[in-house]
Amino acid sequence: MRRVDPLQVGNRALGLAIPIALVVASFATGAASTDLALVPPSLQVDLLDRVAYFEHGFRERTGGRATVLVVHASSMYSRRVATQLASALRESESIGGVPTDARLVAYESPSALRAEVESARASIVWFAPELEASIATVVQSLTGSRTLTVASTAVGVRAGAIVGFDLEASRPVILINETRANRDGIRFSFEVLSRARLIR
Amino acid sequence: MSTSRIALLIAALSLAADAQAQAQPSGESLDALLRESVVRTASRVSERPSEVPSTVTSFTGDELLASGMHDVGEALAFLGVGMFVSSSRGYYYAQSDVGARGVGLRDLGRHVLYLVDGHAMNVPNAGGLGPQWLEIPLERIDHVEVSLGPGSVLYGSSAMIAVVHVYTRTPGQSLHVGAISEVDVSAPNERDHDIALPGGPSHAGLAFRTGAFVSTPVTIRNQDGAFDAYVEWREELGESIELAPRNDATVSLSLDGSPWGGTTSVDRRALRGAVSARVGRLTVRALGATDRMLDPLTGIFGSDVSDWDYRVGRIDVRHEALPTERVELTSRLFFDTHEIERRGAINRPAFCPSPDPTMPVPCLFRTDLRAMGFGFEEIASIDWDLDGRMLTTVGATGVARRIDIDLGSLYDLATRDPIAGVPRPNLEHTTLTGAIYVEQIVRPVRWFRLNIGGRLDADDQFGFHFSPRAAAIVRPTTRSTIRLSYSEAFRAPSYQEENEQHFNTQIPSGALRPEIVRDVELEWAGTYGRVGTSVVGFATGYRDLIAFRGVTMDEFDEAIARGWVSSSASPAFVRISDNLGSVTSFGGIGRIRADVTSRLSIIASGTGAYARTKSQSGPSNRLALSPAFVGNVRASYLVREGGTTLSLATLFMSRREAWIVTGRSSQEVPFSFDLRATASGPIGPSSGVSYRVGIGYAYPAVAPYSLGDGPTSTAPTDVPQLVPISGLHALVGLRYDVDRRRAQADR
Repeated sequence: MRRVDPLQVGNRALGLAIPIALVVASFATGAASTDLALVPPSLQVDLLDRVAYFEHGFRERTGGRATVLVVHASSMYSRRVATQLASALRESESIGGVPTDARLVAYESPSALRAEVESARASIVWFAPELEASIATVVQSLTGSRTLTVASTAVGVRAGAIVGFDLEASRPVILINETRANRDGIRFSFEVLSRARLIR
Repeated sequence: MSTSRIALLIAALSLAADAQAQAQPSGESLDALLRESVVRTASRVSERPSEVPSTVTSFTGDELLASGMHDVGEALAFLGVGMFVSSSRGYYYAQSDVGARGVGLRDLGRHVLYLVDGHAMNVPNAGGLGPQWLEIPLERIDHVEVSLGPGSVLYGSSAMIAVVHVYTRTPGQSLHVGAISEVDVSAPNERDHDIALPGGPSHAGLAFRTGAFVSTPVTIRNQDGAFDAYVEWREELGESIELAPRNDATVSLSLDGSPWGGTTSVDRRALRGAVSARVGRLTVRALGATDRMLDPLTGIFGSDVSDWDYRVGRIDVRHEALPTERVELTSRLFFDTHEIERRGAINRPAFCPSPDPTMPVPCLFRTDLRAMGFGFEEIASIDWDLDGRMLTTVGATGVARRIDIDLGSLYDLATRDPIAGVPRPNLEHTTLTGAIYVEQIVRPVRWFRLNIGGRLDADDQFGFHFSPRAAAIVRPTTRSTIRLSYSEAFRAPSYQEENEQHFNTQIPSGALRPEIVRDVELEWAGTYGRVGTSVVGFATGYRDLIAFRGVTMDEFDEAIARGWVSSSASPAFVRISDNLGSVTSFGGIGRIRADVTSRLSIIASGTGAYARTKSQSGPSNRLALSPAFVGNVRASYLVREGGTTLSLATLFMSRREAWIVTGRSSQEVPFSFDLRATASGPIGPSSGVSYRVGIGYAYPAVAPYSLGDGPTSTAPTDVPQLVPISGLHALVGLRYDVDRRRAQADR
């Protein structure tokens, strides 16, 4: 049987205590949420590509080029996801078969966003996470603009975005706020509606 | 048709299907995206199936329940993830001996790493699995990811055959209260392994589990959070099993001298519970479980003294943060404690020392393991340009573990006093292990991805070990991927393997080297319309596998001199652990999923492998313990939206040899077939009550463990036999779920 040297054990304990102290210290760093529960941005973009393809009148509404405003809150996490979404949109190059531009927009107020949508002639407004509390008032202000509003989280769809994505048991789910879609005159074909979870 | 022509044909068909899909997206192309599982186990970052550097499959908790599974081990066998267990059902090792890709080492799962929410569940020291499959109630499982092949690059020791990772459910946005109760009835098994009806000495088995769980969102000091708790009780009164009488010298006779064998049953009782709380970025999980199972086939047949007790406690504190936009930081502190006690009533002169060899004294053989570990892990994932083109993961981990092992104390069976004069090989040891690892993902163009990583493990027992992995993934079309990967993994020799001794049968081995596996994989995967398919070819080499061998005379003499074995021991029966074995395995895995309609899906998978084993001194032989072919076919049909789901899950295993539990020669287990047929769904549109009913059938009703040699000169009436299991069982369960009722009301 091996004998254990107490001094050696003491040195080992110290060797473990230092990194543990660093780990504990790291508990105090950084901003909130992380990407664990989010559909990967590239998959969100691929899903929106198909959803937009099956939106009646999407091509006509965009006039042959779709501008997507990716709106983020001031938090680090919201900016991170918005940047990832914009990168994925640029890489995809088209949504619903229509060439696409993506622009990052820092959220200030519903009226400022409405003005941004009108000046950019945006067809899609995509809300990054941590804007859920503002979505209800924003979509209200966009009424009549026939803009497809998209959320990166299920909570965002319940708050009023027309389309959103969620991860359930590791699989992506499309959510559609049917009430909001009807109010904004956005109609989807059976291919989407039969596969999406409808929120009323 | 030559291989190159077949490859060209596949490529042409892929391109044609891809061009058609690009020209006009269909609802089926949306289905293909919705079928994608987002996995994290292979790279510790969220990845789509077309991005992972190893063979990864997954199934959801709902699929596990709807398929009639009882635990995670059974699900690994039935749900087509490319793994197998030695026996789909049964108590005797059963689901502990897991394998994949033609290699199952009958090692109690030491070469498979099992994680729950990132926390390693394997038994410390020995590294085995078994009761852990039951630790998480099925209702708490969100999904399970299985990464086949070496995984030490991110997970260290034991990840040689596969990494199985269970993710538990995260609390929702509303209060969620539920309860579950299930009953399982199993038919008795008679000596000829036919399914029998209860009557006479035969009786049916009855198992039930009941549990409750609650989760709720909370807000503490303006921080969002959640609280989640569950408790589950499981009791099994096993079906009767009948074994033929045996008189050979390797078994324990009963106290009255009658032969080993007869009718008995295995009872089991388990309690488990857990709480988790999240506030903002901080999550704390605590889990406790106890599990006691009678083991009436060990030692004196039917003895209610022979059993094993398993008690475990685990705490995991996790913190996730973004120090900058580009860096995701995960910090963990974890603690676990294990107590495993195994007792066996023995009545064998060779085992129980006696002053008078003609008057054996029955004894109680007892092994205990007590282990306590505390560790940390820090992982940083960096998305350099926030576009997924350049991802770096860097991690460091360290664990201090105190292990106290009693390798086999002998007590007088009647008085329970320690038997005098017998060495009590008690081992106490503190181990310190640590590792640093790095993984770099580069995607210079959309159709090409490179994943390269390495991990350096340091262990105060064997020193350092480096585990590399490299994978290149090409997307020739938007719907198909080709992956070529190379990876290595290891398993650290346990303190027990190096120091285990028995006064009559075993001497300590001293320093052992880590076991090593090297693996090359080539995978093609594609999704076309309603069909997703993948084909994997692999070549794997294991070396330095730790196994027992007989001692040399020099080793025996030294053992006598050092007092490791008694002077009455015979060198012919003394063994020692050594880095002996090597196994090479070649083969392929095919998997196809067809969503025939929006309600009917069929998944079929099969693994064909040729594995050879070779020891340093012995000849090269086929690894007969592992089946050369393992296949699954699973079909599920949703009768109506939000209603009943019908499921059929099947398992096929080709012939293989049984593991020798007692005796000297093995028996062959014929081609075996198992099925589970299950119906599940809600009762009423908004009652919140759901049901699960099913039946299971196994043919033949045996587990591949061999007992005895059959007729011998000293035991002419003995017959060779395999451990019996129940061939037929039925399951009925009810579940009440408040949150589910709310979801149904939404519809």
